[in-house]
Order: sequence, then structure tokens, then C-alpha cells
Amino acid sequence: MMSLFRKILVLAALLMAIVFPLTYSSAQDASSYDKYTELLHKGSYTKEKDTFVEKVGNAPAVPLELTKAGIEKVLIWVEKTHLNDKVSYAWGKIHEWGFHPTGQQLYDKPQNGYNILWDRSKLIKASPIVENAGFTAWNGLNEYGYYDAAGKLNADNILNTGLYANQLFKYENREREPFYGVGHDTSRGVSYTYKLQAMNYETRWGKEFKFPGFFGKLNVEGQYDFRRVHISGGRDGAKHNIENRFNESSLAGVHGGEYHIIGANIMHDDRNSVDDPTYGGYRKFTILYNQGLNGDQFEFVKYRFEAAQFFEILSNKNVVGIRFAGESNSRVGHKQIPFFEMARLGGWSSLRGYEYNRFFDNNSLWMSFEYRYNVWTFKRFKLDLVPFLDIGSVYGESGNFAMADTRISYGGAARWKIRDRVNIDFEVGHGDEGTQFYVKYTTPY
Amino acid sequence: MDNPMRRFFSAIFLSLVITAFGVTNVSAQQTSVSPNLEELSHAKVKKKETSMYADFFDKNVYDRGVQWFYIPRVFRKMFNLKKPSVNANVYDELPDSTFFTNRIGRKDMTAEEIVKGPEVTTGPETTGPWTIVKGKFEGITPGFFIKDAKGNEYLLKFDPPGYAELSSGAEAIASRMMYALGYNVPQYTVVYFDPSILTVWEHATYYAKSGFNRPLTMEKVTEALKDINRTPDGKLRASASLKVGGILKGPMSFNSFRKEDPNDYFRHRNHREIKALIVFASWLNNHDLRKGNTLDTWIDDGKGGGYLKHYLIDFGSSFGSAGDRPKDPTFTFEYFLDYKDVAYQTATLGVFEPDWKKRWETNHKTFRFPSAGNFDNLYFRPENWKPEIPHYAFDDMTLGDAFWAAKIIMKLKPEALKEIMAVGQYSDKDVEKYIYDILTERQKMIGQYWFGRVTPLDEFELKSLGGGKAEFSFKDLEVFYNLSNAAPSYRYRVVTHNKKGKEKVYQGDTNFSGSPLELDLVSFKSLGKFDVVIEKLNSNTGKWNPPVILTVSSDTSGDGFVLAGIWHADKVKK
Repeated sequence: MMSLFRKILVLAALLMAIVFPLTYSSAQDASSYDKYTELLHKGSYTKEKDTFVEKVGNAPAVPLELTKAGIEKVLIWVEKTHLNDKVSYAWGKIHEWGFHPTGQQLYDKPQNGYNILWDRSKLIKASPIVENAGFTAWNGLNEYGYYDAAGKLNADNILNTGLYANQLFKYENREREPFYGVGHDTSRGVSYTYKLQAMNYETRWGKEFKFPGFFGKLNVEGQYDFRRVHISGGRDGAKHNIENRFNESSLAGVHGGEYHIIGANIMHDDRNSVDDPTYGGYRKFTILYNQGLNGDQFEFVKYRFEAAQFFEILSNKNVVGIRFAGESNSRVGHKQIPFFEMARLGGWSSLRGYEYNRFFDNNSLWMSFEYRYNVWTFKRFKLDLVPFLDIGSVYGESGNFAMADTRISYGGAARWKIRDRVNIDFEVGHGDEGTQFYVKYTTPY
Repeated sequence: MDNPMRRFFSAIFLSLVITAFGVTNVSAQQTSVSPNLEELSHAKVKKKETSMYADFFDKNVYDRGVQWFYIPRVFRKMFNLKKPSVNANVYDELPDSTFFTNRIGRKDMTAEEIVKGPEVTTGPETTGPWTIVKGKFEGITPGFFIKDAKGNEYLLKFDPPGYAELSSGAEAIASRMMYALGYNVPQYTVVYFDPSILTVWEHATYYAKSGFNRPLTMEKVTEALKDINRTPDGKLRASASLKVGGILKGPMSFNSFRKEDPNDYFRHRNHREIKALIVFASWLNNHDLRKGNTLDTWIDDGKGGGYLKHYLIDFGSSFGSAGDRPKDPTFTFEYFLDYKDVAYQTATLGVFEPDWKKRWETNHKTFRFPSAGNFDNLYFRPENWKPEIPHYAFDDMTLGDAFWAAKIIMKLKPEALKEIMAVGQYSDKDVEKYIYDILTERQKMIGQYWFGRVTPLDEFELKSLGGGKAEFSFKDLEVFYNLSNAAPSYRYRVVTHNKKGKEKVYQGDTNFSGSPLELDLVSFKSLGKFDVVIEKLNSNTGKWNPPVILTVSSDTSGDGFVLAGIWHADKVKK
């Protein structure tokens, strides 16, 4: 009797006799392949090398490779030694102690500068008497002799009424201020310089009204200033000193003066953000009565207004900003307006294609148009580009403004923002007298 | 029958069975073999370094600028020519290597296999004690290097405050998916533990926020953990990554190879698995692809030498997570410095909204689940997906590389993925379902896009029918995965290619409707080797997609033919 195992074996052999020839024949016909074979489509397992053509073609990049290696090593070292953390920590500490160092650069060298602001605006804890009180001091200087020092005391929301008060003490020394004469048609080729030393005490008292929703806030305040200004020859070997060319009769205030000011300011602000507005705007109006002291024959009223409005175009990353501004100084009787208190145009804050303080006169009227659009965003960092156009003019008497006298400047800005606040503003402005460059840490408006 | 006889017959029987079935289905049985690795001594391998700043500078600043000085690259860019991946084999696949192992691409993996992933341990022993050997307090969320009771070393990383489960869940799931897809990854486990099991090694240090190295104390650990999310029973949740075995040799470049490694043959930018990494990353939404998130380790082969194994690490920036916070709106839409987008925005005065902005506005500047982060498929376009920094390798990806990656991605079955989601240990099942839904939808979108750009045929078999006739069978992946409603339409031609790649046509374009394709090849037999070029009609554009080229050679031992090569071409070329 066949064992069970033998039976299975015989059965299996019979099965194989039938199945195997079939499977074998199909195996002969089937095109089977090792899908994951090491046989490569191109080349073989040898170190990849550039061909001669590639070597020649890549040669222009070889010197740059060396630079890269150096920079990479430094970056790795910085991160490995946590140098970035150390610097960031130290910088944070400096700010924590209230010090805010900044620098600024204008193409016109005397305006380059370094500032340090010591901010102790949170000297006291909020109380029912004063919500916030503090002291701010700042100090700026540059290698051309510009120097300023100031201190400001503030008390906000007194007795929870919205009333506030500020006291400012300021001293400034400007070694080389440009002066091109009075009027809209002065020549850039005929320029003078003067040195200005000024001491200023200012007190402001006001009330802030806050409105619900989109209506923003309104500030109404009164101010009193005392100023003492001393003018002398500017420090510039190449340019003419103002005191050699003018006297008090040909240019009021050429030796400075002492005067006080009483005035009022009204400001309405409904911007959605002060640092980076996309809609809303602000409107400021100031009236200041100035009167000479100790025999100085100054007496005039200064009117100043400025209004800016922002509009989103299609989305909040494209913003149009329009600003109108003007200043009018009206003499009282036959008294004088010192030239250093005249309306001025030119430079980063007004006509950006013209030099700083390029135009002086009793009145000015100007406007700016900016289109701010975002081209890059990464985390909290942003880069905005800003084409702009500035138009404006100074003029002598009220009502004498003429469109034909206006100066036009245009240009572009690149603004680097962190957390929707401009940190670096690089601007290039061009006008009919040339091109100006600016590096600043905020926006003109 | 005695035992030796029984064993003899059994052996004969088994060998017959194996031979029979083995011959008929070699491709299914074939086991992978890594290239023969040359011995490499540990001392010879340099330890490399990188940093986040160096990666950003190197790739986003230097490479982007200097690429214009590499004339051949400029030339290729101008004419949209792309180098084929040098490590792809004759069948348009990748052989297993120290970079990549064909896992789900080779055979189906069960959910259990994928969940197991690269598992070496089951995670740190939560009974403790865990000794902190080093603190990692840079950044928003703290981390610790710990040693558990068994002596295994892990890196513990916590979820960002307010976003419980965000990065730990993403890392656990994404790492397993990447493992299944074929990459070498460390083991990541979600752990819950009582902070009381933590102890501090007496020599442990940490880098304080001031940038100085300080001794680590328990007080400091407690302070660091005070903002970390806790479970209702006071436990902490973390992602625990097991220290990779072998001797750590620093990061792997996505661009060049290690000169000292004899097994590192090709510049990494020409590797298919590196080039196509962007396709896998687009699925997992892992934007943090950079040198700093790779690791080379020297593995002792036990024969006195060793070899280098290349890992991808850190998957905490997958899905909606950016590691220490939810993804920023621009992530995956723009590089850190995206010159092209900046130029476009500049030139168009910012009038056109970028996709990231449209998406962010549509989502009302928020996202549905804090644990899922900023993750959805709104404005997701597989071809436009971007990591945080660009790489030459990704620029150079061919359609064939993308097809290869998409093909592997499609192999991960939705039902398996559903089970894998459990490793994220989300407390809210809605979050798990939300991420799963996005992943499955995105998987389909990726398949649909890349399959739609090529002739998406795969799994070719060539059967000689005798008399010079042969039958090609294949699978159209677009049809197989039901990604297109249009009836497929194909054409083929028989050609030979000269050295410059120019075709000499022996049989002109002939339309056919699908697999199998029966051809009379008798008149081409004398050529020895020839190509059958198959193209699929793109139903959207009405044009023929770049072809798949089948290289056929005459079987010298008989009157049949064998399939000698498969290549998914990048361009329609005649």
C-alpha cells in the first residue's frame, strides 16, 4: 500500500507533468525583465565627471565658487557660535532699556546722521490720574557737525478725560544748512550755507476725542513755544557763507533772533494703521502766531495744513496715497518773517527730486502721489515698491501761486517692512535739477 | 521512504514549482539588490556642516545668481532641455541604493508595514526616567535630547503653544509616508509623558536666548515647558525621533556628491530621487527641503569597512505645519526670495493677486483646525508647488522623473493611508479625517497632473507570438486610477535612434486604442535593436503627449523579441 506521502508525490509529479510544459512554454514567450536592474539608462557606476564642453562652459563661475565657500563658512560659524542670538539679545536689551539707536542717510551729506532715542514713555503704571507718563530723550549727530539733543515729558489721558500735556526742551546745532535764496526761480548754482543753533522750549496741552468705528480720533491742542535762534556762517569751504552775502535788511533773520509762539493744532486721523495705512487718512491744521522778543522785529502768523488719504486698489497690498500740504506765513503790519521760518520745499519730505531746503518763500503749496504695492512677502517681512510724483512750488504773496512755477519730481522707493512697519526706505527722486537718493527709516507720510 | 529520500523528492518538487512560477513572473519575484558597495572606512568620510543661513544663502541667493554663469545650464534653460536622471535604469526605474529603496513602488505594502516604518524601538519608555542630556531652546518651541531607561537616545520636540498636535502629528505621519515611498528616514513616534519622569544629566547644557551655553537645570526645564500644551491629565505630548544608527557624518547636499565616497557616483542634482523629491514633498506639503534636513551616517558593514547611508530628516514642516507654527500663507507658493514672482509683481504693478493671497483671503485669513494648521488644496497646483528654497535638482526634474514619483505616490492606497493617519494620534478625529481628505484629494491631483503630461503607460510586458509577431501589454495609469474621463487614444511608430537621438522611422505613426498592442515585427528583426515609440493623445490639448519609448531587441536564441528598455521622454521629438 502506497504511503500517503508517496500518493501526494505521484499526484504532484502528474500535475507537474501537465502544468510545467505549459508554464514553461509561456515562459519562453513572455518578455520578462528585472525592472529594478542596475543596468543604467545612460552611463555606468563611475564617478560622474564634467565633459570638456561642460568644464569650459562652467569656467566663468569658478571664481565665484571661491567667494561662496568663504561666505558659507562664515554663516555656518555665525550659527554654530550663536553669534546671531548674541547680537539679537544685546539689541533687544538695549531697546528694553529704552535706547533706540537709528541712523539715516541722505545723498546730501550734511543730513547723514546717527540718532539715539532714549524712551521712558512708560515711567508710571496706568492710574486714574494719568494713564501714561514718561520721558523721552534723543540725541543725534553726524560727522559734519550736526548735533541735537532733546527731552520730552508727557502725560497722557489725564483723569481719564483724554486730556494730555507735553513739554519739550530741544537744542540743535546744524553746521551747514543750504540756502539758495528766496523765490521759486532761484538758481541752484548760487548757493550759500549757514550755521543754525537753536534752543526751543515747547509746551502743548490738548484733548483727544476718540470716535467709534471708522471715524478715528480728533486731537485739539494749544501750544506755546519759546525759541532762540543763532545764525552764523556755515561750515563749507566750497560754498559762500550766508553772512558774507546778506545783512538783516536784505534777509530778515540772517543773524537769528528770539521769539515766542502761541498757536493751536487740530488733527483728525482715521487711518487703519499709523505705520502702514491702507485706507483712511489724516488732516492737520496749524495756526501759529509768532512774535519777536528783545527787539527782534519779527511778527507773523503761520498757517500750515497737511492732508493725506489712502485708498486700497483691488486689494490691501496695492495702496494709493495722496498728500496735499501747504504753508502760509503772513507778516503782521510791517514786521518781518525770518528766513529760517519761511516755507521750504525740497528734500525727502516734500519735493524728492530736489535738494534739501532748495526753495524758500513765504508760502508753499505742494502735493505728493504714491502708489505703494507689495512685491514680496515672507513671514513678517515685506517689500513694497513705490512709484511717486511730487508737485509743488513756493511763492511770495498769497494768491500768487501759479501752476507754471511748479516743480515736478518723480521717482521710486523700495520699502522694507517688518511687521507692517517700514524699517528701511530707499528712495530715488528725479527733478529737472538732477537726482537725489535717500535712505530713511520711515515713510514721508 | 526514508527521510533522506523524502527530502530529496521534496526538494526536486519544490524546485520545479519555483522554477516554473519563477520564470513566468520574474519581475514580481525579483528581490532588490543595492549596487555593490565599495568598502569605505569611517576615517575617510569627512563630517560636513551646514546651517539655515548657509542653506538660504547658498540656494536662494548664490545659486540663483550664479546659475547665469554656468553656460551649459543657461543653454539648457533657454531651450528647455533637461538632463535625464543619471541613476535611472534601462527600464526607467531606480535600482535600490543607499539613497532610496523601492518599497511601495516595488510591491504593495500593508498599512501595518507602513505604520511600522523604519521602526527600531516602540519609542521611549514612558515609565521613565528620561535623562535630558542636552537642551535645545532656540526658536519658539523647546526641545530636548534625552536618554530613556533602555539607553536609547531621542530628540523630543514639542508642538507650538496654542497648536497642540500640529507638528508632532504631521511628523509621525509624513515620515512613515516618506519611508513607504522609498526614502531613508529616522523613526518618529508621538509620545505622551508625565513631566515628572524628566531628570537632567549633571553635565547637560543648553544655548540660552542670549546665545551663550549654560548649564541646564531642572528649573530651566520647567520654565521652558511652562507654555507647552498639556493634556487634561497634565501630560506633555512630543515627537520623539530616535537617534539614527551609525556614525553621523553631517548633511547631504542636494547638488553635489561626496568626493571621498566611492559609492556616491553621481552628482545629487542628477539623481532621480532627489529631483523628484519635490513631487513627494508637494503631496506632503513639506516645504522645508534643504541640506540641513538631511543626514549621512556611516554604517559599519561588519567586515571592517562600511558605507554611507543618506537620510531625510525632520518632517515637522509637513501638512499645515511650519514646525514651530502653522504655515505662513506664502509657504509652498513662493520661495523665501522668489525673484521671478517679485519681478512679475514689479512689472505688473502688483495688480494681479498672487495665488497665496487669493487663497488666504478666501480662507478669511484663518484655518479650520489649529492641529491641522494651514493646509488645504485651494489653489494647489502640482507644477507650481514650491519649497522654501529652490534647488537646481528640482529645476532639472524631467517629466519622466515626475511621472516616476507620481506613479509611486498613487500606489499608496487610500484605505492604507486611512490607517496610517492613526500614528498622528490626533485627539479630534475630525482633524484626522480633514488631513486624510486633503491628502487623498491631493494624491489624485498629483496623479492627474503628471500622468496627463506624459504617455502614462507602465508595467509593460512583451510577449513574442511567434512568426515575428509580438504583443505589448501595458497599464495606462491615468485610466487605471480613473483620473480621466476621456477615452484614451494612442499611436505608435517603429524607429531607430541615432547617437544624437534623431529618429529614423521604419513604420510611421499608427493609431491604436489600448493594451494589448499586437505588432508584426518580422521586418525589423534584422535591425537587432529598435524602438517602439508610443504616444498618448492629450484629451485637453488635442496634442500628443511626450512618448514612452520601448527598446526592443531580437532574441538571439530564438525568433522572439525581448524588452530591452523603457523610457518616458520629456519632449515630443521626431
